[in-house]
Amino acid sequence: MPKKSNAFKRFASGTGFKLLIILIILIIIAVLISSDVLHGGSPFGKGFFSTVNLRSLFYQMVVPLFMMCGLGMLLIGGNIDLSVAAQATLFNAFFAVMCRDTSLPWWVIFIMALVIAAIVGLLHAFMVLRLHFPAFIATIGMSSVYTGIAGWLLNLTNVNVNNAAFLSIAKTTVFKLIPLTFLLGVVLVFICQFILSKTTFGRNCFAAGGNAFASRLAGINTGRTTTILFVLCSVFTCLGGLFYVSQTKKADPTALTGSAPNMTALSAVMLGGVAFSGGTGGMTGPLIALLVMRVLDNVLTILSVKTYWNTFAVGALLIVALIMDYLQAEKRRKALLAAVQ
Amino acid sequence: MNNAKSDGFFKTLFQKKVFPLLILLIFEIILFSVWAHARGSNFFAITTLRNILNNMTFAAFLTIGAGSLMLAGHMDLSASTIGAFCGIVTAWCIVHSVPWFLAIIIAIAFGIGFGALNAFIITRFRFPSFIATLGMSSVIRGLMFFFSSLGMGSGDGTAQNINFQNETLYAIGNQKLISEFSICVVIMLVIYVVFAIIIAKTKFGTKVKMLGGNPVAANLAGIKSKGITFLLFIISGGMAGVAGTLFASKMQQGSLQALSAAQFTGLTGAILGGISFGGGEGGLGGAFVGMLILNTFTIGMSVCNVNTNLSTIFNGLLLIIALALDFFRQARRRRV
Repeated sequence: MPKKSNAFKRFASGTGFKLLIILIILIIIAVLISSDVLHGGSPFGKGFFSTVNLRSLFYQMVVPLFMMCGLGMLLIGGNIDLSVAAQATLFNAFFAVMCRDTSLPWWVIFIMALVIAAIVGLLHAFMVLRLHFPAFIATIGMSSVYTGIAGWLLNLTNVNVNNAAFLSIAKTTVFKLIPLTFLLGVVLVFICQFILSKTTFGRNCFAAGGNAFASRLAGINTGRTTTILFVLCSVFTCLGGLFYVSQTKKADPTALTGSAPNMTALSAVMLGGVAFSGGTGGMTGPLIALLVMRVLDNVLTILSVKTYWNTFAVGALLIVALIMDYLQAEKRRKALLAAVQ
Repeated sequence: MNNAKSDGFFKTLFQKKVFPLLILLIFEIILFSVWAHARGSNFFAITTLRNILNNMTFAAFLTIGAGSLMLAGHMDLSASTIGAFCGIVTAWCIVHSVPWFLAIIIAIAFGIGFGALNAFIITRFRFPSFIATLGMSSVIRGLMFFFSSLGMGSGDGTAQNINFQNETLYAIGNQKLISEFSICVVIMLVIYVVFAIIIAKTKFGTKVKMLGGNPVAANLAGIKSKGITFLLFIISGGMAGVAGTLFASKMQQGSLQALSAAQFTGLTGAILGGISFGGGEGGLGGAFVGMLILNTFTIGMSVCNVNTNLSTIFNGLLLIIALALDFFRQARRRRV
């Protein structure tokens, strides 16, 4: 059998494919109800495919997208970081305050923020690996430390950023439609996917998440893998957070911890087929899952139903996806059993 | 630990997970007493204890559910949402002139129902409980917002808090029963002790811990894991229901945001108290000490009038310190 059809088959049986179908159906529904297609008009220009709608859709996804990359890889490696929203708030606060109080060029501060992010990642890795803290609880604790420091830096008010060069990052769009920051996020997802599926490091991530003990015995340095994953997670979070500052032109002490993009990212990752216990999954599934969640939100907004039905729908979607997974696994198990007998 | 008795009481205590926590608690009390004294206010007083218990009442109910579930290796992230839903149900019933005891029963029945639903999807479809309850909490939140708009206010489907007035419920929430302690604090203490004993001393409790420690071995030993999971989720849902109802009674309002902070407090209290995240180890007694530490800290900070940012930072550091204490305790045991 040619290799290409194999790859396609694998994709067709995966979570990503099902989500893709849901996504396409959702988009068709969105176009039908929001544009003039039913009245013989074009699907573009008005409603879902209008520039304004699409652009706001893309901008909403920037922060969860970056967090998703880090969290997804970390989760595959068998760890979790619940402090990403607080971390982003801290880096934003640091950036805004440094921009206001010093005369350093913005890119220097940008790099400093990234370095601090890396240090934060190292700190988390140290806690989990050396001190054997459970990642879940340690990162909850650290998240309130970061929120506190950010609040102290910002004095609990918004600090505006008005560096033209920095603000132009988020303003840049491709074809006047797709924001550069969103595009970078998508590229990052594919880079992560490539790393996971094609490199030794990626293989090590799966090994560490699947069975850390066995992989240590097999000679894999799981400690190093985990450390790199924590650092990457914080650095990606920092990038997403700073792009958010560039987008909103200010650092806000509560915006990110309030809207909880980390929970969006986490839901997307799990909806996209990464097991909570680690060791399985990829990054394209979560990307499609995030798109599904956002488009669903968008459809419901277009339908102008009460916003609480969005909350309901996201939860229901998660559960339906899990049930579908279960049914498929069950079918495979039955087929295997039949083959054995 | 067969030789625990011969080692003497103190040595056993020292080896327990609770020991470093008790030290931390005592240290906290001393710290705040001195600090408050230096600032000219008083920490070591019965009113402080009352405030601490008042502060932890609702989260403690969630700790019962979260703690016993975690012992069995499960987790319920929907508990606080279920609680808020039950609060809304209570308020809705009172407004629609249902007698107060019936309102409480209906509300708690909703809590138990949601718990059973959680258990059903987790056992039937073999979902990981973390993600299933995360999804369910969104579903329940959506339903709650919808329910709060049913036949209320302007009737255009806008979600809202439901205010009500009922003297009996107000008394349950606020009336003082024993010196400074209100009825709902006493209810919390009684229910907590009952569940702590059930988990520590009964066959059921042992089964729960076995299930969390090694699910495969527990299954082979003939423990019906499905039944136990069902019961635990029902307990969690029911306790969330009690917490939500009491909260609504105290505030005389069914609030859409009720208990939202209690979720993580309940969970962290349980983890802080030595219930390990993977299950199988710890007990509700430790979880109570964990809750006491968290809440003593919060109240202490407010008595000493500490800046909010600083108190947020200290709150996080407290968790880290507790984890570190546990680490050193285990390191010592490893060396032995």
